[in-house]
Amino acid sequence: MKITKSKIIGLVALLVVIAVLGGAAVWQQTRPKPAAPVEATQVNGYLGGEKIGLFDDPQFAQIAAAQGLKVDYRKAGSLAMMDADRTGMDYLFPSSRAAVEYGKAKGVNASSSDIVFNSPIVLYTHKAVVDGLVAGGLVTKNGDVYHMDMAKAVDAMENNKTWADVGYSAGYGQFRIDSTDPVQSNSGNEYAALVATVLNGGQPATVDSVKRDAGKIKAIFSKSGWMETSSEDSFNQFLTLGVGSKPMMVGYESQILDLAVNQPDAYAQIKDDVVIVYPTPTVWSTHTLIALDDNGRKLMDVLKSPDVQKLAWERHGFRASNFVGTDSISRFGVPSATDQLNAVSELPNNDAMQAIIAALS
Amino acid sequence: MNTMGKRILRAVAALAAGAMMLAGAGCSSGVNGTGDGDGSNGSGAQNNDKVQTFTPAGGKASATLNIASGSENKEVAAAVQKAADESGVAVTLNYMGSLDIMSALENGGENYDAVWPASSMWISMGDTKHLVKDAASTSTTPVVFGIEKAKAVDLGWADASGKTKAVSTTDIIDAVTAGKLKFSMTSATQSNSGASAYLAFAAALSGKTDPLTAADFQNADLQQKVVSLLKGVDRSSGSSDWLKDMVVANPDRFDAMVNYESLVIQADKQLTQNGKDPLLAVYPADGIAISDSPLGYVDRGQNLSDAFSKFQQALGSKDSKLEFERAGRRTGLGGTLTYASDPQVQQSFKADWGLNTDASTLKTIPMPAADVIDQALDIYQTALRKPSYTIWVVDYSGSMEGAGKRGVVAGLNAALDPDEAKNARIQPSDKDVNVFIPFSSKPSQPFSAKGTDTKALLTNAENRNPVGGTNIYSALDTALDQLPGDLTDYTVAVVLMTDGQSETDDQDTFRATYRQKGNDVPIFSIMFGTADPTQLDEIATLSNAKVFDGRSGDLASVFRQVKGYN
Repeated sequence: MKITKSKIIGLVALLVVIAVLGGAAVWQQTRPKPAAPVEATQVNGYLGGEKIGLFDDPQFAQIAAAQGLKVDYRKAGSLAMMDADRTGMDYLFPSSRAAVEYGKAKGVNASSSDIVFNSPIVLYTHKAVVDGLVAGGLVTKNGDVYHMDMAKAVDAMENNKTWADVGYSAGYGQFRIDSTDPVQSNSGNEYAALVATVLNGGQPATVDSVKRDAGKIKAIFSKSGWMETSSEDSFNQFLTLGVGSKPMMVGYESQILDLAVNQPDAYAQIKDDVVIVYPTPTVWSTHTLIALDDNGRKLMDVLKSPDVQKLAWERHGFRASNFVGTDSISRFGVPSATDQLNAVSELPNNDAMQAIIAALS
Repeated sequence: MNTMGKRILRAVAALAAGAMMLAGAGCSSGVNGTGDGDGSNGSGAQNNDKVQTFTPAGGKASATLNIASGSENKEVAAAVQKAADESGVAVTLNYMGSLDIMSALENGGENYDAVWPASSMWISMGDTKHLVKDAASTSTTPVVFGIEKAKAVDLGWADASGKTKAVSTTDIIDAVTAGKLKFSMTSATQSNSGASAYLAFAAALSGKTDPLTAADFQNADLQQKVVSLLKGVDRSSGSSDWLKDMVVANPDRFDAMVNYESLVIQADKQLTQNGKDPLLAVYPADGIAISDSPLGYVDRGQNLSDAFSKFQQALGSKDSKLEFERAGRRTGLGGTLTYASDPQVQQSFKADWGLNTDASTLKTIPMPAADVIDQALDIYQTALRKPSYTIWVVDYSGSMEGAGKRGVVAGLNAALDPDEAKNARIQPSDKDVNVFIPFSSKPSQPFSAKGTDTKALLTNAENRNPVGGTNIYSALDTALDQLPGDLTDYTVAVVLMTDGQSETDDQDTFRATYRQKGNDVPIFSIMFGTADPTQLDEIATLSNAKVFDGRSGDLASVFRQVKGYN
């Protein structure tokens, strides 16, 4: 067929129109979507206080927002949250499997739960105290890292030794390790499990051993009297009030790492004084999310995402599931922190944990 | 601690301290009293001191936070103002006792956006509904003894330079029981400093080095020791701040007080300005307690958490911290000073007032467990505290007909009916004495009730008809006739309530009588209706007491507050 000039012009014009329209359409598609008019899904639940730093982190909020979530929380002890009013709550985020088991016994549906990250239970104390305890033989020092012999410590508490007896002569009253309320909060609860295990000759405590040792366990906890209900409050008080109020306390390794990253000024004030002492043995605190509904499950996905796992380790000191020691804990600049946990005890089984809680209630 | 919550009624109007000495002082521009008082009574506006609003300088506030605050925070107004300026957030501080703040939390936070008690302990015990977030210490201050310098030197606890020695709580207790030292403290059931001191005394008296148990507080021997120690308490108060003002107003009468280090500093500034001897801060070697003054958000779903964060951050800024330390608080971790080299901070922490900035002086006793504290406070109120002897002088003039009388009767019931009073932990003990003197143009026959059986007195108040004029002075004369033979056996107070202006024929006689035989007994007034604040202020000044405003709000809560003062 013969192509006339006018036809060519017409064809070109048509192609141009198509190209423009097509280009516009492609451009329309590749252009970022306008700010989503859809409301972010509100997710609310009970959170162990030591994880508030992570949940309040703007980066965490951003990652969650990208998945359409706005995450809120109410602070509660890991065991206390199992008894709290769960109306309208999408998740529970206690600090151990033991708390999850406790919740199940209280009727919490924990069918949708998973470990999110871990942190070992540690002791925090002041330089003057730890130096005394090293001299007294309860604590050994390797480089900048301290380890407390829990068998010796429990023995000293059983025998009502004073601070002076164990090497810290400026201390007033009996040697004690303050913890949170073991009936409400996980760090105190795991410390109780550790004490019960030590009293059982280092084997995980059993229902029978707890029955046998209940009096001793209670006597050790009664040395503390007042106990906070949250590990976060307990750590804050430890820092704020100083050595005369809380010479030594039980906490999570993550707490001082979080402080070092997020409150460098505050950390600078205490870094020459406050040290981590790793108990031998220690126990892992396995921070486990219980999703109570679909929103809770969406939060679970966010928490398990590589971005949040990385954030939880790098900025909040939780040893995430993919933490394999390639990225040393030295990144936090806390000299007394160590990668290596050489003696970790199994937690007693659930029946034994229940027996410990019952003994201390 | 749920039981405590159920037993403590909601805290309504916390009449915090110190209007007489402090009206107008210590508040920078932008501070407006928004209390119930109408402000027309000038320097006597005692009731404006329970609420204080701080608005940001130069500009509109982006939000306003309603905060339940301990009365001791009145002294850090400058820091609060700085934080309001910097954050652009306005705050209203409602001053009340730490125990009231605890009960507000137990009641779901009431209408508060944040809480700011003297110690974290009250948040831990009160936050049973998990409402509090981001609680963080704003500053610290230990509970110490402030002892008149000459007395401290006499007792061998200080040298002439003001430098104090390490003194144990038992040394202090021995001096008190030997009659060598009198001291005043706040009510243990109304105020954190009083509760802390009481628990520390009990610990020292028990001789135990581990925390006290419920069984210890039931021990008759320990109870007897605490009773004889508390006999040395020469005056009580519902608020730490007002306790300080009371000592400053009449330093010759008081040897010592148990109070926050920061309030000993404030007292010394005022005392030395008035040409009086300062109090020396004495830090018991075995410790009492440290106030960590935490500020925490109360999440009732009101969406003010951003405003809260801004304000909290500003309160932790250098400018605010400096003001905290200038007011005598410590802001460093571990009880240290952050700005020890600031000249104004040094003017507060003066060595010749006994102040010791070394953090190692800061010690606390091992605090008992929460349920033990609960029981210990009950035992204090019903058995161990010094018994109170209260003379209620009540206006039954004609104008009291109707609402006036109903309010008075409801108030008397809130303070004296054992079951009602238990809610606020002000219930009478077996040894308390209450004398009821109704008056109009002249006083009626006094009606007395001993111990917990107050029923007949309350029935008498209920069945009486208001009629006639108002003569408060002749009624107060009669009250002075009713004082106990040995004033040291009791915490003694007269409580006057009136709704009108008094006839003045007997005013001069009353003044003379009071000076002659009043023995410095405080005469508290509760004013309502068209009461004349000038007359009541004068009586409060004469007797180193306080005027409460019952003209608006819940009169029963005002009665509870008055009762907390003796």
